[in-house]
Amino acid sequence: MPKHAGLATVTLALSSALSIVSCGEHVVVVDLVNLSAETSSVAAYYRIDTDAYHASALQSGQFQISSPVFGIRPPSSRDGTLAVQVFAYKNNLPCALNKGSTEAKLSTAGKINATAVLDVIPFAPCKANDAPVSYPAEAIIWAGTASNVWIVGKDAAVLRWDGTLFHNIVLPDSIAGTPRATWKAVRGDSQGNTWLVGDHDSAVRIDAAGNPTRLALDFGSLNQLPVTWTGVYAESGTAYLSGTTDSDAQGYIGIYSAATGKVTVNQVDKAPINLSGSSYGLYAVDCSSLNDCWYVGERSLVIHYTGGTNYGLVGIKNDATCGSPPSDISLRGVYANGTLSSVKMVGTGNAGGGTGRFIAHNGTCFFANDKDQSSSFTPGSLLAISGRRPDDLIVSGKDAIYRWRASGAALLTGYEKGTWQSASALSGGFFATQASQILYSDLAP
Amino acid sequence: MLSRNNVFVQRCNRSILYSSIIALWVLLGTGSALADDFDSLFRRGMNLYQKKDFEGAIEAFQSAYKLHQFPRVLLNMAQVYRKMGNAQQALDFYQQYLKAEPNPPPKIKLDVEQYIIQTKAMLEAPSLQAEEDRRREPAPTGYDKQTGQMMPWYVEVQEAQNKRKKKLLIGIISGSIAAGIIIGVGVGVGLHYRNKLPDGLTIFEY
Repeated sequence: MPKHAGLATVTLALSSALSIVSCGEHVVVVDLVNLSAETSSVAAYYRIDTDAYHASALQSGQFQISSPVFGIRPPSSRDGTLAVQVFAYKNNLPCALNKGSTEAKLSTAGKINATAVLDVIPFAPCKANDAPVSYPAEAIIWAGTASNVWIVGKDAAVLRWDGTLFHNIVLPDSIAGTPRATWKAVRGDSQGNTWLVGDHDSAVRIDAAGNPTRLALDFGSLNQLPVTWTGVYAESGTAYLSGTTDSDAQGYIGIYSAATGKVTVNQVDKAPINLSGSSYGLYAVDCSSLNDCWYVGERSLVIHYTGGTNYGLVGIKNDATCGSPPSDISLRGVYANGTLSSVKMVGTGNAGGGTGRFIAHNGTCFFANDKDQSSSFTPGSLLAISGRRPDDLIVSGKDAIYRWRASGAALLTGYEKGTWQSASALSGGFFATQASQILYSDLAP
Repeated sequence: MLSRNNVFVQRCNRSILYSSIIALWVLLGTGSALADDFDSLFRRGMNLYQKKDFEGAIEAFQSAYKLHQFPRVLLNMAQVYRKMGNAQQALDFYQQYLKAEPNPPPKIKLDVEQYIIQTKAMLEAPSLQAEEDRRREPAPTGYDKQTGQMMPWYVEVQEAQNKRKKKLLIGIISGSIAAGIIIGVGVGVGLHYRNKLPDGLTIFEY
């Protein structure tokens, strides 16, 4: 056989092989080992070298428990190392059943196999801080459902859990303010908007499509002292904000109207509220409707709004005998559900320097209780309250998380010490936050 | 994501099919180009004769004759037998030659008649002079000893050989192409299937 025939054979063989192999995908195929049989979704966070992480999720039906696998198609122009972190979840909750990682070199073409061997993690209670995202400092949480959870905090940080993935939402300075706000409260409405409020006059609405708007403030004739907004309730395009000034601890109520597109700022002791002598800092608001709202704050201040310009002061008594009023309670949380008996508040006695207080209505008056159902004092401040139902609430505070039912507030055990500065209840469990930590725990019915 | 994957697989399958059809066509084209080695056997016989490997030369000529029954092969075999001193075999082949080629070129006919006389004489009484003459006899070739021109019978052989050479070359090239494509398709398909993604695979774009 002539030499050129051999060369032609080799050339044709290579070109034919290459022409067919070029049909092969440039895809990293990740096999998952030890995936929990309970898994309903799989989250993948992946990046090449030091890129920012990308995130995608497999929903139920997109993988088989017996042989779970997914692919990642990197840009054909990129080489380097693709790092992948994998988390298995169930019931849309951000507590991983499994987690693992793997890497793949992108220098070869075609299919690249990678295997992530998953570790088993205790499901609940869990710290939902496994994913490679930025968790807000001084975190405050609100959970509409298991798949719509917002965590906000310092430096205008916003983190959203959508049921399968965490997403950092970076707000520009035009929205976050300068200096960037520290968010003090977050809450959604039934229209799909999410409302964030914080210091430096900061109030932001993120609509259902994810578009943020910084709300303008209308101080009217008031001095424009910087207001720290501490609480928010919103519905049907209207939002009510509770606030305080850092400089003189005056109480403010903000009312956002979709018609004006602004937040009208009202000081508690001035028109139209006119609660003379009661302008103390407000730290929380909750409503059963737009005409039934409760604002709470410093010096045992409780304001009940019943529509129009009707704001009334509500007193708190020292005990169930409805006798003398208590010493100053720094109220930090309120839960409202339409009836007086459903309204619950929490705070800290002695102007914030004492132990926690549970405030409830006994049919005659709101009274403060400084003990839980076992007649023990709380370890310290009570800072937040969230309702599963009117008769089943979660209260969080310093070194303690309580489940408050008709029988009284029961200390939940097994959780870390620390200041649980926010809580948000779901039908089957609750979230709580301290520092950057996100806790989720199931609760028995 | 899935639909894109399916389109991709269809496109690849189509290209593999086309490649296979081309390979098959080329392979069929080589069927008529099987190597014909008459020429090499004939040349081998001549070379062995010149090296005085008469046994090998006879064997090569016999093999060549099995492929193509050119009368001149019989003549060459007769010459070799004569050189070997095997007069009877030489005589037989001279006679077979004349039978197969009743009207040989005059010069060859004359030579053959002379050789027949010689071999018969050898059978009756071989002499030293005859042996000496036999040694001096040039190897049979397809060229005229005196004019150096190619003999007509050898022209036919050469033409046939040239045709076969062309066929052989086409066969080699076609075979190489076919082999290349077949090997390439085989390797490519193997690699392709090794690279084939699992059915229903969900792929995340980076």
